[in-house]
Amino acid sequence: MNIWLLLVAAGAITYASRVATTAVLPAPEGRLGVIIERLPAPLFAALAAVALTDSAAGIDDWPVLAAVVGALAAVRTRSMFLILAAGLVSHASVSWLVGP
Amino acid sequence: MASARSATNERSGLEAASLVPVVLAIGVFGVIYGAAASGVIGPMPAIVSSLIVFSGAAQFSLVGLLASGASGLAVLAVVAILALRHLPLGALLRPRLEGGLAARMGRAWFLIDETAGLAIASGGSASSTLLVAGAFSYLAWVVGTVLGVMGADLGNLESLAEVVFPVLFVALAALTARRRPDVVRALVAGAASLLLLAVWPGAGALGCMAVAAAVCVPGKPR
Repeated sequence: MNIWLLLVAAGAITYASRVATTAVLPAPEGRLGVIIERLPAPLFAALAAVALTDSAAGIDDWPVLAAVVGALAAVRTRSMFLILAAGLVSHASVSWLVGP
Repeated sequence: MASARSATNERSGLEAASLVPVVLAIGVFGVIYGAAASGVIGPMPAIVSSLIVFSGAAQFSLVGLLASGASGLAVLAVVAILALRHLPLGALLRPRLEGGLAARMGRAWFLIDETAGLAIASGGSASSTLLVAGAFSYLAWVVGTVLGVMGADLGNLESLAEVVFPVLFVALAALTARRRPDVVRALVAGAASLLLLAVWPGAGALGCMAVAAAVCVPGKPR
């Protein structure tokens, strides 16, 4: 298959999946509606697990674990900025402590 | 009154600043993608793929599969499977988006895990957050790809960028867990996802999204 055709098809498939439930398909109702209503926190927790295991350092890497613990420690602030900052500062601190 | 408004503005400014590490991390992965893709599909297709696909998972898979000699149809099948992750994210965003069909279709272009999460967790307008976060993320992804194609050197930025995503999703899980049952479901979904990935690494994001959905299934009405 021609590379340009492949890219256009990949773009079309990806956009179709984005637009389907955002704009085109009817809003879910009934049990599916309840699942969608409850989904945000568990979904992002699941994606956190994926991102954690996807990182090249891996889940057993101390700086990465420190970043997650630092972020969790800042959760009570309910501020995205402070949670991210706490995670990144924890990562930098532990990286500095354990060395390269 | 004025001090309350000033505090609110200060908080909004801080929350807007949280976009910076996310957008930078996306840009760093754009550089990695550009460098990897240009060797497999060529510099111009690498840049165009970021312009018209705007999906790290799909694009990295596309390049990896082509490099291993997969057919175009096999590549598209994988892209379609990976794209399924947008369905629950879109369904979560739909009730939060303002405007008619055309406005929602336009904003849908910017739907990726990170921008959807920021829009859902934002205290303000999900439509505006999706648009602003999406536009900056798209720009970072495309510029990063161009820099990668040009052979930019990242130094140690890659390891720092990698840590942004787990921290971001922890933050999003925390900010969207507004009641105790949400917290319990998030903890169960996170732990079950880690377990699933430990026993079946290929389950990926889709498998973990299925776990999250399973955790949210309501009990049978009595």
